[in-house]
Amino acid sequence: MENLLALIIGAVFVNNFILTRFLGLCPFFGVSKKTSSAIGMGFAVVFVMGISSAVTWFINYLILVPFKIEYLQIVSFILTIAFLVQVVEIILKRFNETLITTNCAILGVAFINVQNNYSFIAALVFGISAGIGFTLALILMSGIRERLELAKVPDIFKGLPIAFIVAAIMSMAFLAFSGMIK
Amino acid sequence: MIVELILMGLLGLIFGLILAYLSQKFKVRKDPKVEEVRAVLPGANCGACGMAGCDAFAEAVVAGKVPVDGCVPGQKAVAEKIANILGKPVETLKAEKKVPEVDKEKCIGCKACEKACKFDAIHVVGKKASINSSKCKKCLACVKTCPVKAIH
Repeated sequence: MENLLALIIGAVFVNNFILTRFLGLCPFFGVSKKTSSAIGMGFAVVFVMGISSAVTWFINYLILVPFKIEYLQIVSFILTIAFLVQVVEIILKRFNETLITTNCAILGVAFINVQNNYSFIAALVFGISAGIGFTLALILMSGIRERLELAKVPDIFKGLPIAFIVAAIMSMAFLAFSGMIK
Repeated sequence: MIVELILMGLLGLIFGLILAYLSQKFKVRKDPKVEEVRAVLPGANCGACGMAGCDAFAEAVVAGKVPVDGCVPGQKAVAEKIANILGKPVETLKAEKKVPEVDKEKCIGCKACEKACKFDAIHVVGKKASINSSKCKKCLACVKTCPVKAIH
């Protein structure tokens, strides 16, 4: 139980996917212009990360390991994730703003699960909390960017450049969590 | 080697079949008229119609939730095109909107209207806003944005 709690806090804050591991930066900048779309994207990511960690766990331990073909992890995981993203997109048509959830963050979750030999429950919890951490960073960023629209920003910094600077400062703030959990 | 080929092929086949089944089951029937209407709209996403953007407006018009002349910058020409697509008569159009005027006394030259204008029609010249009436599409975005209510 304690381990799971440590896993959750670790994935949400200490090793936040965006701000500490630097995974999934593309949607972090692409979808963080409006809070409403950031929230929608965040939930989609939580959903896809949770399901894909569960499914890739099964694929790894029921197909790849018994047949000793672990070197096909990348291929099979990408296949699985692309499939799941499509499923989500078909079922939840309202997220039709190009779901870029086939990104490195989700593949990252699948690989971290395998590398750390997580049990099924741990993998599922890790996937969902990684998604929550992603959503947290995305929503924080979108709040800041909505205000940046109104702020007086020098012309050359307008848009993405100032967003990168903000992201760097946020990432430094999240560094304060490092060392909280070994 | 053969085992890998068969396994990966099977995995792909299963995923593909599930996707094919789901996409048939959850098919969204989209009215082709929506796209036609969307094509005749100005596409500025100005929001003067009260919708989130031109796509939302096109859907609402086809669904009959808003009148065909709901597009403010498109004015009469667009309203007629939409009415043609939908096969509806052009309903009695609202009174033509006019180019807004700037109250130079009240204007503080904050440039909020300049940012709000999607058509590059309003500029702050000499600390007072002025409207280029040939570019103005009468969407009234500036009127809504002005913090001191100097445009009306």
